[in-house]
Amino acid sequence: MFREDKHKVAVYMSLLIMAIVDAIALLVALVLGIMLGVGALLQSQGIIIAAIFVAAINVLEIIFILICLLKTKD
Amino acid sequence: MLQGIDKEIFKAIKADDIKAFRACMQDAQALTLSYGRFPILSLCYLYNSRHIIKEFEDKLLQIRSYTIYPENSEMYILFKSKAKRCIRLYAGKDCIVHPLEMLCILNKKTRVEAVYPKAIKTNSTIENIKMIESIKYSKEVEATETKIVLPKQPIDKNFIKTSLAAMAILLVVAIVFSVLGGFVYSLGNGSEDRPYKVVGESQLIKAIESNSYVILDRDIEVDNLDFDSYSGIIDGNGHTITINNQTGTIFKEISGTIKNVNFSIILNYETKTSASVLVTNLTGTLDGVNVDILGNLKYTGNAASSVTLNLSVYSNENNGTIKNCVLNSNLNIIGNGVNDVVFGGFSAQNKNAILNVEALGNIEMEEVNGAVVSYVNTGTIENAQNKTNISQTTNAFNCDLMVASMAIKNFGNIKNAINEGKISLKATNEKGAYVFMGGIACDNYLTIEHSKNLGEIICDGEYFHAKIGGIASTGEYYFVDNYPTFDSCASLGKVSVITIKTISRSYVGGIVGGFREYDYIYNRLPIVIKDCYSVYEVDLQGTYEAKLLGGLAGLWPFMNNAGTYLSNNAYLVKESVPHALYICYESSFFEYVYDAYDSVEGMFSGYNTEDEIKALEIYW
Repeated sequence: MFREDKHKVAVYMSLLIMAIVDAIALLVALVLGIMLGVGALLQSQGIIIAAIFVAAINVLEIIFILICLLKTKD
Repeated sequence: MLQGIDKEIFKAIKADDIKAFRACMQDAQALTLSYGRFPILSLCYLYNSRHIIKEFEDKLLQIRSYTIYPENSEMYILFKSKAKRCIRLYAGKDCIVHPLEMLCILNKKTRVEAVYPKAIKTNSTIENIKMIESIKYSKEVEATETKIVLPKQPIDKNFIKTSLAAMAILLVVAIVFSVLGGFVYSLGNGSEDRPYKVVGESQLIKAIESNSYVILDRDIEVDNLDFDSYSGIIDGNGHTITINNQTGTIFKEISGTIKNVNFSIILNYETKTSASVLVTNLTGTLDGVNVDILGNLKYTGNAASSVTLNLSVYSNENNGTIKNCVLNSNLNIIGNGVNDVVFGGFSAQNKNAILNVEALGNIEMEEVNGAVVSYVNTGTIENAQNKTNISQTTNAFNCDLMVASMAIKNFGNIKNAINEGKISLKATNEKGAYVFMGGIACDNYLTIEHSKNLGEIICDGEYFHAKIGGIASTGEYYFVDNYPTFDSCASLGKVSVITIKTISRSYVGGIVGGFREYDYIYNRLPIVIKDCYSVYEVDLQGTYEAKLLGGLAGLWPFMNNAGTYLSNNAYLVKESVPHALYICYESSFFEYVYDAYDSVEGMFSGYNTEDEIKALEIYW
């Protein structure tokens, strides 16, 4: 595969990963919320981990896409 | 020689079938094949045959001359769509689209630069590359035999748009999740370091039921609370928990801490057992727990008459610490007239410590003995201030009726206690009863130190015997090594006793009313009174069998060797209080004689003005 294609694929793949990770984290938060009822926020460790995980993955993906863009430019 | 193989090769290129291609290439001459203008490698680039390129690219780049086979329209149409304006370089011409040229047309610039040094190329190839770049980007190309530098290519706009959109989405999601994480983090996890931040009733209930650490973030309103034991920490953060209709005990046991919280309670509590509103058994700490309570606390059981039932607002039994609390009560405490139903506002049985507390409001007790702070105190009550008006009405007979501010029975230490509330009792049964009332306590078995009564004591009834003291009704001997002691106490409140029954006896003292048992006289059991003073006033109505009104004590057990136990006391001589104390002698069988004492050097002195007492060191 040519380098330009690899960069594009990387960007699109990271978008796909982002969507999957976000969906899983939201699902975790939702399940915790439903399981624990009104007081869900009290039992919040899972939600915090999910949120921090998703936020971190997203930041990494932004960095990755930026690198891909810079590489593609030449 | 290559008869028919061209179709097989083209098919393999299109499908990127490396096995088929490899089979076709067993004849080395097949590498030189060119479909009209398109050599094999150019077609591989055009159809993006990655596997074939990976294995055969180097060989195919070394081809110098080609064996021309017919070109088909399919490959030309695809090429034309990619070449766009560059098609003019090849349309209608009998030329070769060199692999490097194909890469340029396909915008694979970095690939061109990578394979350029190892490709066999002609001048026309380099010229065509320059033309392609010129047509597409109007840019010059620098090329030598071994190196080519293609002009920078602008990034595909759609790709940039897609990437920027992706980054924007990612950024928004990252921010949203960070904020969510931060928000949820700020709500705590119930640990000691990060207590739950509670904003509602259901959260409060869940947190307490799970024994979590809790901090209130706002005022909370509930109908009724009912928990078992709690061992965490609830920090009210100054907020209020309003309970609209409390019908039972809130906590069975607290072994943790509740602090800085206000309870506003409307009480409608009927019980058949001992009961407390806040906690039954306290082994932990209540610190800064202020209770504003309004309503009824009623005993409705029918236990055997010998059973004592304890009622309280804070704790039935305090084995922990209650400190820095304010009880503001407007309560009716109702007993049944059969059982000994007793009440202690902060604790019915204080076995440890009640410190820095204040009581306000009104407590009306019906057929209930009680005190604002504690009923039985075997621990410590220190820095307590009572401004509650407490009253008892009763139709009971032939029993002890007891009302005080700090404790009914003090087996412990009461220190720095001040009563400013009115203490009153109304007994109506004509069969008579025994009344014990004290500004601070009723029966003092151990120590009351540096305490003062400023409140009025009113005893209203026709058929009773009364022992009333500004500080305590009686001093009682209980501990082997300790006599009941009053140290640095002061009595300033007025005592009013109303009765008309002629056989009644009233023993009223500025510090202590007297003692219960005549063993005191026979066994020389003393009551220690030192550094105390009294400026109180007595209003005694009716007629009496005995009317003993002492500046210090209504009745004191003996005079021989009394200096060991009485020292440095003072009282204000008034018409209603002419003497310091009375000593009782049994002149003959069950015939008693009372001798009054006014002043004895070193033990007690009477003064005619309050200023004279104020000048003494004992005044505070």
